[in-house]
Amino acid sequence: MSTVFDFDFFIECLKSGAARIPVNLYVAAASVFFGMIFGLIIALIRVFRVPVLSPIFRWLVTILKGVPVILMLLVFYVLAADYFNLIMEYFGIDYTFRQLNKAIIAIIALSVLSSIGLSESFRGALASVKKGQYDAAYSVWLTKRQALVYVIIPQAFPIAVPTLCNYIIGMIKAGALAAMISVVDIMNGALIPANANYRYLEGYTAAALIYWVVCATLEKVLNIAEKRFASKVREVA
Amino acid sequence: MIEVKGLKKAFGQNQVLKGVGFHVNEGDVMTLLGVSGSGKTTLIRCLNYLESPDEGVIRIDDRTVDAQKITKKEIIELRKKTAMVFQTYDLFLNLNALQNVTEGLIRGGKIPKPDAEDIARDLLEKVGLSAKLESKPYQLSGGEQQRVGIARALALCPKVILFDEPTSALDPEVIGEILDIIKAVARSGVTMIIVTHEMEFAFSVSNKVVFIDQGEIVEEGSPREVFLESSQERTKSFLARSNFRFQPEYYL
Repeated sequence: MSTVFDFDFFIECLKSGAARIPVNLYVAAASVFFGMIFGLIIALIRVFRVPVLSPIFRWLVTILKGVPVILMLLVFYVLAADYFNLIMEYFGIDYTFRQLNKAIIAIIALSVLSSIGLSESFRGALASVKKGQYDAAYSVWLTKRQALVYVIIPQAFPIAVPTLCNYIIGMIKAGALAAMISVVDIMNGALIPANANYRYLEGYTAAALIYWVVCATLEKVLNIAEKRFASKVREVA
Repeated sequence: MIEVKGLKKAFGQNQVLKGVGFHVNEGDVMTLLGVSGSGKTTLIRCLNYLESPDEGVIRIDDRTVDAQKITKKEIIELRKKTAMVFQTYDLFLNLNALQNVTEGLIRGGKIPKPDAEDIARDLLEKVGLSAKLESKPYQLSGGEQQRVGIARALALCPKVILFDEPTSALDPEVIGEILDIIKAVARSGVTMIIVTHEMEFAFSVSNKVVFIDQGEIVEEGSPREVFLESSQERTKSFLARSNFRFQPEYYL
């Protein structure tokens, strides 16, 4: 340990971490994607007070909102570790937990969390659409489904966009926690060289820098999307 | 052509309609008068099932529905006999003027898009908006929005158009323009049911007036019978409080 900060080694960590950027991107993208789909379904169920399902989801959302991300990841990891092999055996598939890409577990756990989180922001957005819009849609013979698809959701979505963008950034960062369940993401990637010689300061700094660059770049891109939707919000406000 | 029998509707403990019945012939223009809270808006909203009545039978054209055993399919079919113009216009905020008119035609009426656009352009021109086809509702004034609202209802060629206080949210100077458009529509022979607080307009446009109070029909008849020859105390006191002044259209 000659110097406090070995710059060449830092670069090495940077390269190793940066190679894993796609892992974080697809974990985040998949979680937000599933989160949007299930979040919208949950939001619709709750806004329209579907019998039985609506109270179930109300409780589920309340409970799961209080679960830390890391706990969710670990629970799903442990569940998979215990039952994945049994299930595969049952169906006679020759595929074991060791072969399983752990990123899939991360995606499932994070999808659950983003479904819950996004359902709340979609619910708010749906509630902000004036009741007269439904009346008008029904009065020109649209069915409930058509009213939702062509009138209500197009008005509600722009309102949810800022929260959605925030969520995407949040999911990129939550990817760092996926390192805990042995997903080799930016964090684990940057630490691979450090594991050999215990120069963790360089590894962690490299990971931090990569995260920052990825998030800042993404934020710029998302800002463009937000601006585009801001004009849509003006239409319905 | 329209027959309503024993229509009842309650919101919680509040019995808004207490068994209302009336009939409207083809080509009739019927106005519904009454104080706020008398149930007139609820009544016309029941006709196209934006509000579900608790009891009663509604017949529009050849379609009869019983409130106690109506199905989703019947609701859609009943709505296809009607169109509505709203007090707060309620244009689709995410769509421009042209799309506001075509949306129902394309999705609900299953009319091909080019044909729907032709119909919409034609109607928007008739209401004087051919220059604003691409404008979104937030770019239009209240009067312009209501013109689109009327065009949207006309486009569906319904058996009856329901007007729910179409000028109540408008500035006094544009009310006249909208009323003139409605009068022109009435002259073209479309059956209409109008809820309004514009007494002179009601007197001149309709051939049938229904006065409703506390969820019941107090009086119905020709405008002359209700406005000038009413024997009902409730009608008289309502008309005395409204600013209706009978002005003959000609002097001897």
